[in-house]
Amino acid sequence: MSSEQYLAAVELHLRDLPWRARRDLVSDLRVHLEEMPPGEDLVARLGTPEGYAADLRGAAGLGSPSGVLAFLRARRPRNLVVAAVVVAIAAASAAAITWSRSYQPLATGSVGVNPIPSTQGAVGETVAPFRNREPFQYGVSILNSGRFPVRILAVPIDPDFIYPFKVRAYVVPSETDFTKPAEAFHPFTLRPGHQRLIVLRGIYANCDQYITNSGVTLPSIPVRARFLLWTHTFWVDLRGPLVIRMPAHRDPCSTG
Amino acid sequence: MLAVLSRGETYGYDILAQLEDAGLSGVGDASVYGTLRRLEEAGHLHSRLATSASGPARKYYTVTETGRQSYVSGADTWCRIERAVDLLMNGSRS
Repeated sequence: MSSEQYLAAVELHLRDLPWRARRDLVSDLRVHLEEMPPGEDLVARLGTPEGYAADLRGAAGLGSPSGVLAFLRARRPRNLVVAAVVVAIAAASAAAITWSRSYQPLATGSVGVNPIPSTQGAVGETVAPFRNREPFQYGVSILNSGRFPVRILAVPIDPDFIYPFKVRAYVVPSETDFTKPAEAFHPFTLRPGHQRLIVLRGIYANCDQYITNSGVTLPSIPVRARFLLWTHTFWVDLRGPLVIRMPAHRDPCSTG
Repeated sequence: MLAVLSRGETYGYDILAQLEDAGLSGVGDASVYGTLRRLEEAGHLHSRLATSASGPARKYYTVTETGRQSYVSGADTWCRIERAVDLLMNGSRS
């Protein structure tokens, strides 16, 4: 057994001791081994590493510490600091991710544009009759109710989802004058406390998916947005559900 | 250990050699180093590291005032035990 192997084996049997005591004892042994004549049979001279470690432990009065405190004291202080920093960073990252996922900075603003024709329902919903291939328009303002500027990236109406219309998104280029003509949607930054009017324009469509006298309710629209380091798709509730109602006594796919 | 160290500053390997020269060859190497650590922790010894031109850096130990008092007390106790054993074995006071 080489000196290094003997040293490593003794240190292994002292691994429960406080790090500083273990370091000193192993350092003493290292010097001792270097003082010994080369080629000496270490086990014959010193005994087995386990026995040597037990003698050291007994003579030094160190016993066999156990418990959480002993476990921590047996670790190198620098390693404990590194471990604590890693744990703190991981915890902070997890907390930041959790917070970002629960953070909802977008809310419905005070301005809207209802389809024409439409009526107000009894429980606050807007009811519009489905008119196949006729123009459709609906506007909803989105408000930044959070504390950070939010970059609005898109209004990703999923074309695979069965909406009763085919639309594209537009945006009114003002935070105060909502009568300005809407422009084709382009990303913009929404400052805290400000709102912008998003307009969905297109045609009523997909009538084949609905049966006569039924209705389709839309409670919210998706808004893709980025704030700080995160990008999310937020679902912004409409001021009241939008209900597209199929005609009662006509083929819903007939025009008008 | 304190008796060896009370002769002057020295290091672990030399202490072992002195103990062996005195006939205490059964003292284990680990016992010497463990005891050195315990005495130092108790404040009986003071240590310093000194580099050596020919070998590894050695840890030299000296006896502190507390250690000297402990040695004197221990030596006195040992002498009394020795006299008592001698009396019991030989039947006369020396």
